[in-house]
Amino acid sequence: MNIVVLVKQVPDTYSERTLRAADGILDRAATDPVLDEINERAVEAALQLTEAHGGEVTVVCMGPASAADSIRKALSMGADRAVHLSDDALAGSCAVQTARALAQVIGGLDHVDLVLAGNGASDGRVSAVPAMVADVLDLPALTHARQITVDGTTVTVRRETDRGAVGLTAELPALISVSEKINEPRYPSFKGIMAAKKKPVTQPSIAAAGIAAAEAGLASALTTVTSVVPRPPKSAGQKLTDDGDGGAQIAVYLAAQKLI
Amino acid sequence: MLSTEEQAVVGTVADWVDREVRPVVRDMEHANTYPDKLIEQMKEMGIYGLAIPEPWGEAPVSMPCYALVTAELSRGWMSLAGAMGGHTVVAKLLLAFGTREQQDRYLPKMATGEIRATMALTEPGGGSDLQAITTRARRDGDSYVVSGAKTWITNARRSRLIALLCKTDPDARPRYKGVSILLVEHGPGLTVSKDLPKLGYKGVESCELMFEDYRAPGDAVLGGVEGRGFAQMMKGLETGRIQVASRALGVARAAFDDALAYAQQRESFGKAIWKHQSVGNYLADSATKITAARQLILYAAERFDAGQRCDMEAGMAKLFASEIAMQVALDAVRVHGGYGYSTEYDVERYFRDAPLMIVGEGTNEIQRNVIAAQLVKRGGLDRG
Amino acid sequence: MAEVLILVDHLDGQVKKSTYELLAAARPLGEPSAVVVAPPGTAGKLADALTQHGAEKIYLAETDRTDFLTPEVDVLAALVESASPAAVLIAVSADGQEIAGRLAVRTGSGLLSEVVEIGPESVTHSAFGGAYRVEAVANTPHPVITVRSGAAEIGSGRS
Repeated sequence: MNIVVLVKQVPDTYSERTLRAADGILDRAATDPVLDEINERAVEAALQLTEAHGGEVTVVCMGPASAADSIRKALSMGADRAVHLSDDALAGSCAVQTARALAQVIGGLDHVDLVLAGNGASDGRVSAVPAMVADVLDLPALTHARQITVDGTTVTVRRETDRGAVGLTAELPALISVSEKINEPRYPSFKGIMAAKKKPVTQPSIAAAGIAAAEAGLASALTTVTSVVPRPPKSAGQKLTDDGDGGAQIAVYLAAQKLI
Repeated sequence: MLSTEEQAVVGTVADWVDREVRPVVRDMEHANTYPDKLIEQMKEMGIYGLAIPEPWGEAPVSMPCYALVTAELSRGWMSLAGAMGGHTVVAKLLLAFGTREQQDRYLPKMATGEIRATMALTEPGGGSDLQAITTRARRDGDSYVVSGAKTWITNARRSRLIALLCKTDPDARPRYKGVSILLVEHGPGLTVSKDLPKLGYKGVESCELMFEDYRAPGDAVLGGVEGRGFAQMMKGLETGRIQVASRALGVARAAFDDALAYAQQRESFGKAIWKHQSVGNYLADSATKITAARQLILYAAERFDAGQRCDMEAGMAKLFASEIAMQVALDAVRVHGGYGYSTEYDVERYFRDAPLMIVGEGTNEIQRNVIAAQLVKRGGLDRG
Repeated sequence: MAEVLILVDHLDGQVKKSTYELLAAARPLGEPSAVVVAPPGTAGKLADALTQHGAEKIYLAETDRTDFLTPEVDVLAALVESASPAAVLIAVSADGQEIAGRLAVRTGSGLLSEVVEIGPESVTHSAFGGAYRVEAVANTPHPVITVRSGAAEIGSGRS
């Protein structure tokens, strides 16, 4: 089965992430970029499926030139090839633009049986782009999967969120997004790292990918950030004395902060 | 500068150490537990194939890359670097000196770690004087009969291939011309007689081997010709010295990283302790020594790959890295104060592991002999 | 006055508290209209609760379709077309964010996610665990907004 995996390069969550004051865009150059950890799990899921059922894994990534490192990591794990949508015209795209662009690229590939993605990126946190891509491509979206079973042309997942769990079934082709519980991703072998450099990575321009310039990037985004205010430095905070009612005092504080 | 791929190799090992080794090492090491799962993961990554090129292996790396991979393993747990060090030396010996048949027999399985290899040089009575070894391999028909004892052989039980330094001609003069390396495997007549208890370097077994009328096949001599073992081993020790130097670098790095982090968190007299000059000085000196050691190791490694004479340089790297690692480990204890003495922190393990690299794989006293002799022979240091 | 569509989050005949927050949060943008998607015969009990908490209009779509989340997307998309709302509000949850995303891409609407405050001219996000307060606007007529709990005080009845 031929599988597409969507990957994204994001700032390391342990680093200090900053938004540019001028346009509110994430400053991707300011931190160490990494392959978003959930994508490692999506790649792992894809590899397990092709190891069991045959087929190949194509990585699709929309991101700046530096995203090549993240793509290479996915190739080192065992993916076969990649499409890197790196045209600068796409910078500052909103979620809708991103979903449409990714759908356009996927739609241009041959015989895609399954699209795999992580549930959500650790930087944007919209947590909907996979389902949006599926909607554009008119594919069933089976999201928050913690378990995937493929039987012939039918795929079943166990979808688990904090509301509970359900089983979802669909006919291929379909799209699945995975949660952290899906698997433990493999470490790339050194053989895989060496082999990655020979694997094909195409970098289509937006024109070649069929994306209209007038609809791409910050200038035509469907939402716009109008102001960005960093949090003021921490003040000392409140100290409570526990005379046996410490728990109650904490509860009052949390309720006032609308946390409970 | 390492290629992008080799940087990715070192980076993968570093990530693996942070995610898989550091969370478990303290308890495992204290319990002297053999790190089965970690070693299996090392095999899967390809650590045991780092020195093995096609057609027997698939992803060999340069000596500088190998040194940095070793340092990363050691940064997590020095014993892990010890579980693959001798193996790589034996692989390089087979590549440099083995017959095609010997290479085909061992290298493919060594690349996957299915066969692990170790060297056996040191004898209970012998120590540094390798020409005075007494382990004897006597030709008898179409096999060798081996008698003698070796000690401090790490990974002895789990290695299927032992590169044994022995005398095939005790009467040869000069004495080194009677020395051969025999490729032996476990079998009748070879007993792993005991596991030696150690200050550090825990988890992996270091043993005494007893050979009593052990029979090795007639084609077990490395390279097929007797009397070349001493020269072969000397070449192998170049890799060994770089390996041990890299182990020391890893331990020093771990000790320094912990001390740097601690010194920023811990406060005394109203400020983070790194701001006290004494503490800041330890950090500055440690970082300087580590940076110098790293450069010296890479220098020796690059010369090795370029085919240049590097026995002195590898000896310098081993000498320097192991000595500074001990200093850095002690200074890390100082920075941690009382907690440096606590077994609930990792610092004490670095302190116990560091001395091995001073006395093992050629004591530092021997390294100094080697360096001094080379200095005279070469007419001093290179200009520029 | 413009209408604001609120997707009602309900379980076993009970409206979730987050929906009441949305009914209140919608006020700066327009009149709140509740949209209920439910299996046949179950929605009746919800109407009173919704009205009591500020819903000026209730749209009810009864369906026994088993395709996952698509009925909600279809109903909201049809209403966006026919009612031209000022915005669509959906509570943040795994399902809510998915419905919102699909609705946004289908109707070509701006998607504003995990909003903590809604004002008449813009919305507010809290980014990177509170490191930044960000204000944003949509460039399309009927933005889809997912709202974090705590964005508004739950009202009681009409103002």
